[in-house]
Amino acid sequence: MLCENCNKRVAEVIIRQSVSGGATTETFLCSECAMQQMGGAPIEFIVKNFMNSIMGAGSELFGNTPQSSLVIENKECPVCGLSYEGFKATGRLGCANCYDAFRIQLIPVMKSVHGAAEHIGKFPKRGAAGLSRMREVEQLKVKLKNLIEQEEFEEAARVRDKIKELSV
Amino acid sequence: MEKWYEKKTSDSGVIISTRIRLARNIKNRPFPGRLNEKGALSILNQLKDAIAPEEALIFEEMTDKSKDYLHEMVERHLISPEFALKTGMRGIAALEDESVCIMLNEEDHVRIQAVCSGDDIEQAYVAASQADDLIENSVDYAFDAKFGYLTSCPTNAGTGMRASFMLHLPALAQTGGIAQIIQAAGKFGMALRGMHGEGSDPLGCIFQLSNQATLGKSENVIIAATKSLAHEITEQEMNLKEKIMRDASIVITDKVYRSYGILANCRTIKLNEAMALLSNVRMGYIWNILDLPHPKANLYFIMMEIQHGSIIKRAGRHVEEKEEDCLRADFVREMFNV
Ligand SMILES: [Zn+2]
Ligand SMILES: [Zn+2]
Repeated sequence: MLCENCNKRVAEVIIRQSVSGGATTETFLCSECAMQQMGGAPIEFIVKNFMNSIMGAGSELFGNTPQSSLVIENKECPVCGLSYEGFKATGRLGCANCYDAFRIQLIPVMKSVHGAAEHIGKFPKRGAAGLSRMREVEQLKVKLKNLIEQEEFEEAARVRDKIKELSV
Repeated sequence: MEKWYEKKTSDSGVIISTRIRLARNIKNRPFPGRLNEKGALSILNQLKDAIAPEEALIFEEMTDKSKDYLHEMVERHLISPEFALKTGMRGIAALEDESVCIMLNEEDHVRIQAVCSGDDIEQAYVAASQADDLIENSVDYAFDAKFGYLTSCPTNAGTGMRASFMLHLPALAQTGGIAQIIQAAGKFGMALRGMHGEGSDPLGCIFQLSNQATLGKSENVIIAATKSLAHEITEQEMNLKEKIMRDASIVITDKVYRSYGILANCRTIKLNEAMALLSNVRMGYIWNILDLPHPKANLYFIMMEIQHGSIIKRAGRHVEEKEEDCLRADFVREMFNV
C-alpha cells in the first residue's frame, strides 16, 4: 500500500483522528510524510508515538497494511478553543494556531482547494531575518529527515523543536 | 479628486478595471470572528497606528455607520458585502481616489484592496504590496512556512491574494456563450461571476474573473495566469462581436441608438433596464458603431451611481421605489444631456 500523501513511498503509519461521535478516520502515510505532517503536534507526542510505531505496536492488528499507528488526540485548538467540528461548521478558523492544531486535517483540505499545500511567494520580511530564517528551516527539515532515517530520535526532537521555534 | 472609476480609460475596452486583494492577520491574536469587543478595538488601534505614517491613507471608523451608508460603499466596491453586514469594531483606511482601501477587522484583521482602471493588474499589485509593506513595518503577521499567510478561511491562505479583472462582456452574455466561458474558467482554477445582480444574467453584462487558488503559486504566477485568461476571454468577446456585426449589424446598431435615446429622455426607469441600456451604449462605443457625444461621465461610473444606495446618498433621505426610479431617470438624463 502506498502513502496517501506522496503516493510514492510505502505507507508505514496510520494516522487516526478522532471525529465527532467517537468515530475515527484513518490516513495511511509513509514515515516521512507522517513526520512532516505532524509539524504542529507536540514533539514528545510525535516521538513517543513514533517509537511505538517503529517498535511495531499494533502491527498484529493490521496484517499487510501499515504496521504502526499514530493517534491524533488534540481535538481543539489549545489557543482559541475552536474544535475541528467547529471549523467544519463555519469554514472559518479561530486563530493562526488553529493551522498548527489541525495541520494534518488541513493538508488534504488545502490540496483539494488550492491543488497544493506548500506556500510559494511573498513572506514577511520583518526583522530582516525572514529569508534566512526560511532557508534555515529548509535546511533543518533535510537534517531532520536524515536523523529520522538514522533513528536518531533524540537529536531529531531537538531539530524539530528548533524548526518549530523558527517557523512561528 | 478624481476617483479611479471616473478616469476615461475605464470606458475604452472590455477590461474595465483590475483589482488585487491581500488578506493578512496579526500574529498571536485571534481572527476577527473570535475577537471580543476589547480585542477588536485594540487590533483596530494597532492597525491605525501602523497605517498612520502614510498620510494619504485616510482612516474612517465603520462601527456605527448606517446601513444605507455602508450599502453605498459596497456598490462602489470599496468594501465587501460581508464587511457591511458584520457588526463590531471595524474601520477602513483609503486613498482619496479610492484606488486603495484597507478594511480593518473584516473576516481577517487586514484586507488590502487596490484597484486600477483599465488593464493594469501589475500596478494594482504594486499598490497593494506597498500598503502591505507599510503595515508590516510595525506589525508581525501570522505566517507559516508551509501555509504562508494565515487567514481566517483556509481558502485564502498562502499568498492571501485574489487577483481580479472586471470585464464587460455584452456579446458573450447576450448570446449565451458565457456559460462555456464560466465552465472553462473553472478548469483553470478561476471563477467568472456576475458583478451586479444574481444568476446567469448579471446586470449590465459586467463580470469578475478571479483566481480561486491562493496557495502554492507565487503572486507573479497567479497574476500572469489570471491576466492571460482575461485576455483570452477578451479575444473571444471580440471574435463574437465580429460575427454578430456580420450577421446582424443593423439590428445591433439600432439597439445601441435606441438605448441612447431612452437614457437621454427617460422620466422614470428601473435599475435592471437602466443597466441593460448603459451596457448597450458602452458596447456601442467599444464596437465603434455609436456616433453620438459621450455622456458626461464614463459608463461604468454611471452604472455605479444609479444603484439603490447611491441614489439614497444623493437624496440625503430614504426614498420609496417609485421616487427612486424617477431620481434615477433624472440622473441618467442629466449625464446624457450633452
Ligand atoms: Zn509519503
Ligand atoms: Zn485557534
